[in-house]
Amino acid sequence: MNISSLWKRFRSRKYRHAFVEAQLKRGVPTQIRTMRLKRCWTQKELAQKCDLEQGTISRIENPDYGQLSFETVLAVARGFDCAFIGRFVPFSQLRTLVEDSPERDDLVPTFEQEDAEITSYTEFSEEAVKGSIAVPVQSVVNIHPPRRPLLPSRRCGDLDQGKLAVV
Amino acid sequence: MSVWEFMDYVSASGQNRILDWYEAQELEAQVAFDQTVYALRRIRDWHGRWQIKPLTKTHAGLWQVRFKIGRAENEIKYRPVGIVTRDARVSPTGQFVLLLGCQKKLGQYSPPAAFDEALELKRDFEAGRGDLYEHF
Repeated sequence: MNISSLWKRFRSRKYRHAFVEAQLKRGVPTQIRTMRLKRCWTQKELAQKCDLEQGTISRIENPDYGQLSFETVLAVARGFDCAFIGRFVPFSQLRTLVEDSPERDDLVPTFEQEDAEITSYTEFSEEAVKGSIAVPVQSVVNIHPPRRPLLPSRRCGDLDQGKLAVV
Repeated sequence: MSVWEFMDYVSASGQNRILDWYEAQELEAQVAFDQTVYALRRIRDWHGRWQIKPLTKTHAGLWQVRFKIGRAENEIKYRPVGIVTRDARVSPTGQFVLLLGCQKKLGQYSPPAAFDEALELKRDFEAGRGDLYEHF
């Protein structure tokens, strides 16, 4: 197993704890902004959903604000209708999160979107088991319903800035 | 799950300007830069992401990685510069070559002609001079 360069950097106590601090203080604001823009919401719209002031959203989206409270983060989680889990983990888990998690992990769906996906998966599997969908019996356990995007694919607002050049 | 690989450009004379710049930074800036790069490695389409932007006009073809540290008069905007050599939207993996680091404080860039210098490095790279080293 290769030792990743991030893991090598973690061998410095000073670096790894600075990384943890930045992961929380810079990572959470960055994710809030990314999730808001993916939903095509303005700061005002998110503020309304969270029952916060627009100025608060503006501050907490700033990676240098550094004073996010649990209370505010939980309000934002309610606004996005998703979960927020703060827990202690070993550094290996942080490394995995930073290096190996797919982009999709940042684009957290709402509970309703997840529920629709889970329901559609369950119904599809049940129909397949009942035989109303023609699939070979031996493949039923491996059936996946057609994937639907959990988030809108349209682009909006800030997301339209800049174009990636094909070189 | 990286979809972009980040490379350092090392000039024909052996200078790695991005590494030199990185090592001269405070720990806070090093960590913020690392996290920005790790985040960008996982994002296939950088379109609209504020952590990276293409430069325009005389510096078209260059991209700046963006993050900042500090507030008000202590704010420093970091703008390491590089080029897209393979687009992850049309290839299984993209490649971004970091050319040099620079930052902006109170409207002043350091080094002052960073983008012009980056264009020169880009031209050298495109002419086949120098090497690429994995950034991480």
